[in-house]
Amino acid sequence: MSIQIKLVRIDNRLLHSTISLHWNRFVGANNVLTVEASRSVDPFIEKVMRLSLPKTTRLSMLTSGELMPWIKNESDENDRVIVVFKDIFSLTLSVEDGFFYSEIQIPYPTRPFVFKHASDYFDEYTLEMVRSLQAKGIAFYFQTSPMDSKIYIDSK
Amino acid sequence: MELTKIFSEFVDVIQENEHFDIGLLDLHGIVLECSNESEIGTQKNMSPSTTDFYHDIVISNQKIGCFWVHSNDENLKLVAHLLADSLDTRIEAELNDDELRSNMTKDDQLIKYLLNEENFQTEKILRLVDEMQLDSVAKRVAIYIHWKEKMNFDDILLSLKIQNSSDELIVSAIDSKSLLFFQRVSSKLSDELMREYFQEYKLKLQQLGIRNCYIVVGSIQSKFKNYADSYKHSQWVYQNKKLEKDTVYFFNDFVMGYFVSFLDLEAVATVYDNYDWRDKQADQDEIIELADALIQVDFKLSQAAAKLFLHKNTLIYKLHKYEKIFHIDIRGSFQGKCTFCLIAKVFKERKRNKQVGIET
Repeated sequence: MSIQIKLVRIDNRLLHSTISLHWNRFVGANNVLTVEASRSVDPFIEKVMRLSLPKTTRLSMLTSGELMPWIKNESDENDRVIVVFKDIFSLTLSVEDGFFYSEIQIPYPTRPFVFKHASDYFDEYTLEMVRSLQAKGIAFYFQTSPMDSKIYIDSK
Repeated sequence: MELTKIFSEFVDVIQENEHFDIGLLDLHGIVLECSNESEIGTQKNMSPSTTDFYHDIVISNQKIGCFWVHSNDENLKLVAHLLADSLDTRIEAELNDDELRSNMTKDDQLIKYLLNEENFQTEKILRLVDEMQLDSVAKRVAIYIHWKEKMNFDDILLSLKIQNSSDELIVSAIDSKSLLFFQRVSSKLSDELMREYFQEYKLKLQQLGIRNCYIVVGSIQSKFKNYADSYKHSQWVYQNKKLEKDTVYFFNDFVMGYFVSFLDLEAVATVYDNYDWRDKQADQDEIIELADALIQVDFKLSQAAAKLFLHKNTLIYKLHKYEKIFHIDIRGSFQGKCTFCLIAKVFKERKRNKQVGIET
């Protein structure tokens, strides 16, 4: 049996309280993976960020290219995983590398927000990547914490 | 919530970097704990500077102290904010877990009281129900979940309590291999909808890591004094039926067998042992096999014959033989059908007793 991916999220803050406090326990995760296009955090900062998670939850901070090898070689059926991508670009790189998950979560913006169309939220460059991922069968939705409702992003 | 225990994890990380020190200060700025032991007992002015960062530690809206970060490093602000955020998150997580554990303790207590039929402590139960704000007239059903191997249920129980209020789900680990749920159910659910509901329920449980286990749903009850019965019903199915893992079984599907299990089979044997069935070459194993097949298909002969890989006429011939031996009308009367099943049950019981070495 392969690992159980419980949640995949795009969040430029990577690891923070919403993940540690809410999603972690809500989905029963015992493992959090943060993924960036390239390693930008120094090892000491990585260790500091780990402190926000209890010792029982493992944290692996990976680059996009390291994600699939981790899933293939480091995981097992007991892993219940939350994957947090820093941005759409790092997700795109991982998808090109073979990663797939059917629904990707994006936190609601902190500013007052009325969502009508994907172009209201994404710039042109990012929107192109989103459309390309949607064409591969990946859906995107807004949700911040487990108690929030989900709003799916249009695919046209 | 043990703040010093959390803080010691932070100290372990910080001590790997000689440029930073962290400390826990009381409300007066006295250093209580510190990564640099020589600072313990000193007093800080708690005014931020280029080398010192202070962050209030607030628990339940009350300031209990201060988190201090000291460094000459240009990254002090970045690192200090990260540390403070991490500390706040860990404190809140631990407090949430403490609250969940307290709720779990009440669940444990309530289930213990509910299952203690000999000494059913109504007042204590009602007091707990009140404390836990449970709807005392809601319908609930016992769900017995059992593993063959010992399990650590801590994470599973915490996740269950996060996702469900006690009114929805009362849950306890009744031993190292079993969980017992009392799940609230809607009284409007038809049998079919109930099955659909529990199939989805099973999928949700699997997402929490509840898999490779046996799952049995007991009878629906609306009174607390009968919750133990719901549990016993689920137990009976587990102990008496051959089950597969990760499949939901319903007591309702085995009700007749449950009722029959209370019958005094000796009374049946006393009557039918006098029918010289041994002399008349009644085959006990065949009777058991025929009865089991007929029960499974509601006595539909064609289906029973197919199950037994017999021609229908062969099945009828065999049944006719036993009708003559036992003077019962198996094919024509309800009474005959029941009697045939009871006779089969006597033989099954004797066979089982013989296998385990019990003299009959």
